[in-house]
Amino acid sequence: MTIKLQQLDNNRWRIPRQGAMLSDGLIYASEAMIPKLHREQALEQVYNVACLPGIVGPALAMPDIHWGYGFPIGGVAAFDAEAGVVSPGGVGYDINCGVRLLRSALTAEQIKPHLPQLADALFQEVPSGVGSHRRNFKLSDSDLSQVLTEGAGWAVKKGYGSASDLECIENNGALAGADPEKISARAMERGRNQLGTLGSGNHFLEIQEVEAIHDEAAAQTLGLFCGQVTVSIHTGSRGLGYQVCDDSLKGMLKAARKYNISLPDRQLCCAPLTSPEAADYLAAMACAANFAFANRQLICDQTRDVFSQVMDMGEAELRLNTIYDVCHNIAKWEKHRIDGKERKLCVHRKGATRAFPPGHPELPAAYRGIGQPVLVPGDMGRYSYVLTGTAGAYEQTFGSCCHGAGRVMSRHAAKKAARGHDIIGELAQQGILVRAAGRGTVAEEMPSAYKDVAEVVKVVEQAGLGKIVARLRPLAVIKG
Amino acid sequence: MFKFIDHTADIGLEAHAATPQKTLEEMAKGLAHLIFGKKKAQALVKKELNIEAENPVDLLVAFLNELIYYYETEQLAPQGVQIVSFDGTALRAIIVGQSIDSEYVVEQQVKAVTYHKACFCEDENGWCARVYIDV
Repeated sequence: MTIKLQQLDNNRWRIPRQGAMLSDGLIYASEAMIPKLHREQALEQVYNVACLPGIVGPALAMPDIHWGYGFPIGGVAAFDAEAGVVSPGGVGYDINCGVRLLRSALTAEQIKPHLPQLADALFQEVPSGVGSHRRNFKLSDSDLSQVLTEGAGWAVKKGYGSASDLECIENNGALAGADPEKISARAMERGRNQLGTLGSGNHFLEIQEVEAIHDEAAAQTLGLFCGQVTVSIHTGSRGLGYQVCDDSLKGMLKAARKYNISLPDRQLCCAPLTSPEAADYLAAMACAANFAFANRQLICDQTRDVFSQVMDMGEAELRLNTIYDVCHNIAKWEKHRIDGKERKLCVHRKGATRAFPPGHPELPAAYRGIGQPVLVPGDMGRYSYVLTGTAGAYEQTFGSCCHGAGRVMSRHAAKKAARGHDIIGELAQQGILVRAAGRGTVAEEMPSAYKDVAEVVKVVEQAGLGKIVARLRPLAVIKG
Repeated sequence: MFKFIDHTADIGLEAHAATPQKTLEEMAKGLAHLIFGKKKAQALVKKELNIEAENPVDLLVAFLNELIYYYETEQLAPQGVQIVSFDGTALRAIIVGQSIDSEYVVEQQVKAVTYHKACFCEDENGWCARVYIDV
C-alpha cells in the first residue's frame, strides 16, 4: 500500500484520510526520519489504527515511531466512550512497560571507584535475563491478587519502599478497576515468581550521570543537578502481562466478529468500549499494569539496598528518591477537551508516554508548576532525557509524548553488524560498564540499533509536546 | 524448513513443508531455535498438548504460545515436537524435552506470538506458515 504523506511543517506529517480511514493520521517526525518509515510498515500501521471505530482526532505517532504489530510503536489513539473501541494491540503484550527514574545525593565522581562493584551487585541481586524469576519470592494466589489490585502500594505495604514513592508514580502506582477474577490461572502462574525481575530484551537497569541541565527551574523542582547520579529502571509486567494480552486477543477476535468490526490487521482486534468484553479487558489490563508498578517498586527497593551496601551509606544519606515512574504501554480513561467540550476518552499509548501539562490535577502537587516528568531512555551508549509535559501535548496529542529512541535496525541486522565487535568492551572504553545475561541481547541492543534519541526529543520539543529538562549519560547498564 | 524474517523490533518466523503437520513441527523447531539457539535439549520428559481454535491460523498462534507458556512455567526446552493429529481447528502434539535450570544457555526472550500478518495455509508447494513474534 502506498501511503500519501503531506508535510505540515518541519515536525509534523499528515496521512490525509484515505481509503478505509475514519480520521487522518498525524506523525511527528523530522524529514530525515521519513524515508525509513516508508521502507518499513509503520505508516501502514498508522493508517490501520485510523480505521478503528469511534476514533477521536487523528491516529498519532510520536517521533520514535517504528514498525510494531497492530499499532505502530510510538502510536497514540483516543476513542470515544460511547462509539469507540478498546484494542489490546494498542497496549501491547508488555502491559505497563515503563520507566522509573531515581535521583540521589551522590555524584558520579563519588561512585566512580565503586562502579564495578555496584554494577556487579545489581546484576547479582536483580534477576534479569530470559525467563528470570525469583526462587525465594513465590507468591500465593492471595498475595498475587493483592498485587494486582494494589500495585506499587502492595510493595510499600510489605516494606519495599515508602509512601513518598507512590505519589511520584503515574496513577499513584495503581490503576483503578483491576479485577483479579478476570486474570486467567495461566497468567497468575506466569507472574507468580517473576515479581521483582527485570526480564530481557530492551529492559534494563541503568546507573547514570546528569550530564546537562536544559531547564534550571524544572531541574531544581525535580531535584536534579549536573554530575548527579541517577538510576533508571525499565521493565514491565513480565509473563503475567504477556499472558493477559494473549488471553484477551482470543476474546477480542470473537468480539470483533460479534460487533461487526472490520479489522485491517487481526492484531487490532477490539470491542466497543460499552461492551462486557471491553470491561473485562480493561479490568485485566489494570491488573497487569499494577503488577508492573509493583515490579518496578520492588526493583527500586532492591537498588536502594545495593547502593546502601556498596556505598556503606544509609538510605537517608543516599536519598535515592523516585522522581517519577511512567507507563508507556497502556490504555486509560482520560478527560480531554475536544472542540471546546470535555469528553471522556479511552487513550491508547503503545510505546508512548503520558505528558500532562503544568496545572493538571493528576500530577503530584510538587510538579504542578512544571508539568509531568517524561522519562525518555535512549540507547546504552549515548544518553537519555528527562522532559516535562506541556499544554502543547495536551492540545495536540491527548497529552502524549515519545517513550524512547525507537529502533532503526532489526535484531538480525544488529547482530550481524555486531559481528567482529566487542560491544561490551567498546562501551567499557567509553566508561560505560555493561553487565548482561546474554551477549546476544547486547548485540541486538547495541547503540546503533536505535535512533539518536536527541533527534527524537528535538522533534518533541520543537513540536511543543515536551520541554527538555536534563540529559543523562549511562555509567553502568544491567541487561537481561 | 523454517526461516526468520526481519522486523524492526520483533522477529518473523516462516516455515514451509509438504503437510500442515510438518509445517507446524517446523514452526515449533523455529521457535525453539529462536529461544534456545542451536543447543539440543535432551529427551527426558514428555508432554502432550491438546489445542483447539476457530481456524488454522489461530490454532498455529495458540500452539506456539503454548510452547512459550510451558517454557516459562515449567522451564521446558523441547528436543522435538511431533504433531500427532491435526484437523484445522484442533491438534494433538507430543513435546519431548527437558526441564532446564539457570545454567542452560537461553538465547532470546520471547514474549508471545502475535496475530500480526499470521498465516497458515496451502500454497503451490504444500503448506506455509508465518507469524511475527514479540521479543
